[in-house]
Amino acid sequence: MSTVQKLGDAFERRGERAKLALMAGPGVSWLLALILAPTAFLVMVSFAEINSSYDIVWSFSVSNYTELFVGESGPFTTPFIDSFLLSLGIAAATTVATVVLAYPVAYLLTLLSGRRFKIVLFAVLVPFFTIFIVRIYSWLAFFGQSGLINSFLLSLGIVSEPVGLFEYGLAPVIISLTHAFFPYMLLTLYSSLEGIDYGVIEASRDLGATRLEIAKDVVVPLSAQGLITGCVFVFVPALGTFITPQFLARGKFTMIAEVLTARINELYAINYGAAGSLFLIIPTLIAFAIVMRTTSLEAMG
Amino acid sequence: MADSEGHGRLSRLVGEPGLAGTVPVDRVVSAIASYGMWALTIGIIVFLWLPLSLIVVLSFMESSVLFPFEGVTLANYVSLFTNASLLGAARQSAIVATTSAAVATLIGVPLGFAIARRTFRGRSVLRGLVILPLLMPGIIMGISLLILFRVIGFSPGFFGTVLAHSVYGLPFIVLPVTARLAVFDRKLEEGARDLGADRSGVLKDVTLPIISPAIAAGFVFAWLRSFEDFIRVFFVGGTMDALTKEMYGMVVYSQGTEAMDPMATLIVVVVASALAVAINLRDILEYV
Repeated sequence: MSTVQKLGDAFERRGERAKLALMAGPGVSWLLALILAPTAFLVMVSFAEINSSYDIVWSFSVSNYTELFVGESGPFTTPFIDSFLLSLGIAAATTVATVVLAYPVAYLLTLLSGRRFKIVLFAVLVPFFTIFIVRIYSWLAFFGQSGLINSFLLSLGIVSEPVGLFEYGLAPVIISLTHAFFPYMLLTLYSSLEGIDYGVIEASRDLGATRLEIAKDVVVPLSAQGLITGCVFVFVPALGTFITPQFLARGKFTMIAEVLTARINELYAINYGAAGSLFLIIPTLIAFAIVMRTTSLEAMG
Repeated sequence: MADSEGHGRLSRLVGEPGLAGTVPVDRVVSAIASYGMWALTIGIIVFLWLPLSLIVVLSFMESSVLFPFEGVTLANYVSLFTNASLLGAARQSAIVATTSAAVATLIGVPLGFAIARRTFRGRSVLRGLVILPLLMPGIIMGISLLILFRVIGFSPGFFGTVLAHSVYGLPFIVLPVTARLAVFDRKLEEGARDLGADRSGVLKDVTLPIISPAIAAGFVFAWLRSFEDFIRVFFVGGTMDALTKEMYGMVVYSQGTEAMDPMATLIVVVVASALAVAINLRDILEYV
């Protein structure tokens, strides 16, 4: 190869590089500057201290973490631990509820076509696209001592005093989160179920498998990828939700996002808030790793 | 075989003798399963629509509870359209959403092309990173950006929110664009080249028209996500108005919710009609 050709190739490569930098550069810098850098900085701040004029003092300390875990009556008795465990429980209950409700509907959607498919899809998607805060707010009137459910039961004489279950607290939070996140689960399950070759199901039926066996041994394993992705996309946002308990728990308990917000906004304890944030960052990273392992990105479009 | 035994037992239960009975039994089971699925689906649709319909009904009610019934009124709508701060906040949220979705589109489309069409080091890491804004809880994004902004002396407000929302909206652009490009028949581009079109001509007349539905769907998603976000704008929005902040204040500090039901009703109506059009126009599930 002549020197001139080599030079030409080098220029072309450089041109390609420049083009690539121009295409991917802005997006990459957005992700670096607005996602990765702030998160890394947050982790750093969680090991720093705050002085009386609210400046960050860079001295390595784990006091923010001990403050999270060790309460006045011993370790693991802090309100933070309670909120974290409660949030995990609420997120888990929401995930299970969406799976149980979404599987049959997703399966039904794969069997439908034409008008019926469009109608069911429309019915499911409208609540999904109605903004989140409205979806949570829409449950407000149902609950509470004088909420719709309790006053209905009272007026029918079924109960003689308001039922605690229908007052603000755990049940409304889980029900409204299930309502809000159901479509995520449905859509991811639907797209993985739709990809299943129906011939496989027919073949297992011909070989004598019962419906239950087909569901257990064929449909669920083949849609496992969608199931896992769906669970991640319900569990993580449910874990970090702020508006839902604010609207529907009404101070009966606090979820982790409320603890963090209160610390940062009212007390400006950003070091404490940063340490607490780690308990949402770690689940996010685990979820990220799971999604990376199970999902091809083309399938996510 | 356990399976055929199972069938046999079922057959005996419904009084069909032997093998000949397996077909009707399976049909019965099929019918039950199918009715069950329909019943459940309809039940879930009712569950999904019940609270939203209640809001619509309440928006026309004299009192903010159904019982006792005090009559129908348009007063709530009057209080919505005379609530300047709520309307102003809605307008501001729409401006933020439009700007953020536009920024996300401008940087997301080329990024999608780079990921789908180029080979370079770190490409698989990058395609993974793209979904991170989607997965990361809003409160983490809000807190981390707030702290970083404070430290570098960048004050929260409109630009901070647009930055946060544009990276939040990035996956909604990049994922559909890469998905669309992955199934794109490149022979179309080659054909256009062979027929004498230059690079920009191919891009403008062949490639972009084919992927533009994906971009449009992504823009809508990014717009909606920005418009409905509360927690990010709560942290990085500073004193800027936002519809969700206004609604949050109404509910939590009980600043009177008369305007809330009609506002929510308008949102439901707009979403429902836009979606009805979109579903009839094309298969939008592709882009979800």
